[in-house]
Amino acid sequence: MKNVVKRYGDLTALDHLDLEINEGEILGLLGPNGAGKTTAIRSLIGLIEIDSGEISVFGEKQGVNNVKIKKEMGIVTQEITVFTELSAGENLRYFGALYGLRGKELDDNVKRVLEFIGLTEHAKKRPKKFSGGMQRRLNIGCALVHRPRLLIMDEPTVGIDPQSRNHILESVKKIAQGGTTVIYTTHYMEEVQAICGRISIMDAGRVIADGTLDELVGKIAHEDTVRLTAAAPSDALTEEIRAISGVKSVVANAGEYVIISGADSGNLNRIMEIAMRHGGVSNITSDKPNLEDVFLTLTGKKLRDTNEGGGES
Amino acid sequence: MTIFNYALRRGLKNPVVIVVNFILPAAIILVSFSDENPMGAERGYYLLAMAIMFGAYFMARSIQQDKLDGTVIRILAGPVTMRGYLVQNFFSTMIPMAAIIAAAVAVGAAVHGWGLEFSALLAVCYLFLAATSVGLAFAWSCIFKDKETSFAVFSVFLTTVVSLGGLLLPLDLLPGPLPYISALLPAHWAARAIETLLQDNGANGMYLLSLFAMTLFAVAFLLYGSKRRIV
Ligand SMILES: Nc1ncnc2c1ncn2[C@@H]1O[C@H](COP(=O)(O)OP(=O)(O)OP(=O)(O)O)[C@@H](O)[C@H]1O
Ligand SMILES: [Mg+2]
Repeated sequence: MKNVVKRYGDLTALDHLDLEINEGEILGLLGPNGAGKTTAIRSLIGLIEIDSGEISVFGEKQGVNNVKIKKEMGIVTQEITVFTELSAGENLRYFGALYGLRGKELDDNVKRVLEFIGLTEHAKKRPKKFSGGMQRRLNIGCALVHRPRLLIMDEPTVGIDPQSRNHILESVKKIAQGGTTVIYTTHYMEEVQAICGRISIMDAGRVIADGTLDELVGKIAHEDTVRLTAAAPSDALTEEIRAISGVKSVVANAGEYVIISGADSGNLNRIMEIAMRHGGVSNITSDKPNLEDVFLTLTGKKLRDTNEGGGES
Repeated sequence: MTIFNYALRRGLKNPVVIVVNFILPAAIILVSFSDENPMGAERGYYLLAMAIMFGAYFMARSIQQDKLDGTVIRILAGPVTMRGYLVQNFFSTMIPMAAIIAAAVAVGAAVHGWGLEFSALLAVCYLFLAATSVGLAFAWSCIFKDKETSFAVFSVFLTTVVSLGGLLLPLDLLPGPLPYISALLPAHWAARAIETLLQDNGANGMYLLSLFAMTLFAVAFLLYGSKRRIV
């Protein structure tokens, strides 16, 4: 994708986006809510028209009517999009047939996918009766029946338990080992770190950094991450910390501060001092940055709005 | 053909479709063509048109359902063009509607002794009306994104069509400028076609004009339905 612009009225969802995917890799597409990930994916797969720029897939120009390219791609949508009136098996058959599979070839592939997503036993049930994890797996399966050359997955693990998530991550690895190129979109650092060879970070409709995990972390290796829990958080505290020279970013969230600062700058002491004056510190740690911190440094935002799954009360 | 097959199956499995397309027309043919009908025996032709209009509309709900399920995203991301999607959905309703109309008119002709030419022209008029209904169903699913609004507005719309369209009540009974306003509804033109058929017993200028008007409605609705982004 080169220089792609997509507008919804006044809102520029994709702002001169450049994105490149190499055949055979798993590319992680990371970005906060509203970064434009889904829009990028929809443009790439030829679901929506773009306003300007160029998209080519397998060396050919992509467009909403380029049936030939679209046939070789598969999409796992962010929401669960399966026919509620059809059973799991019938859903898979439908999408296999939509991509031109017939007869024995269709039967075999439906059977293969049912096994792959672990729903063989439930093939005759309707998705409404499924647990969240099973629905997610069916949602993925529907994109696999026709053996796509390029598989695009839009947050395939949203809202499911860790066990199902691991199952899905393992599956994605297997799919890639079978020679399929995968684009994997998520909010979760751990997922990207676990499976993706290369990572593109998106914010506000453009790619702001990309590379392997090591390359990305390397970009800010000369920086420290300080995590601090203030006893009495306040805007004044935030401002004072931000004013320290060498502090690159401060993100406060309900008393939890994440501060990125130049390494070995002695800022840890200064931060402590300021925090003590503002009512004390109940916890503080300092460590080398991870992917989350890369993101924080580049955008000044946290990847997720809230601490999902945390034990906060 | 996958889209066509499934849309057809889904259309015919809908209980509302069964009632409106099979039971209602049968009842109208058997009951309302009698001289005891307070609105006159001829009202039966118009009531049948109304049943077909709604029957086609309900049968064409597949697109709306695809939107609710979100599967339209998957389908259009697949090797399917918007035009292909609409065409397959269109025929998935029009083919069974053609069969239903043919059957209804055949039964009517057998029971009430309609002539061959009259029956054929009546069936054609019904078929055109059905096409406008399918077009409307497509356009409708583009305008209203969520089910509740769609249904609420549709109920109001339905009442308007029924009372102004000239199918339930004769067009002459409408006061003031209402007959002219009603010309903006496809149902009006179906009523006109039936009216002129009953007077002349054959195709005349008014009949052809009515078919033409219904074609315009159908094409306009379908174009609108295909141009609007639905994802
Ligand atoms: N159909 C649409 N009409 C209008 N605005 C839209 C539409 N789809 C997306 N947007 C807007 O475009 C921007 C990018 O949205 P997009 O869904 O691509 O983000 P995302 O990165 O996928 O976010 P999330 O992580 O929440 O899924 C958002 O501001 C969104 O509100
Ligand atoms: Mg999204």
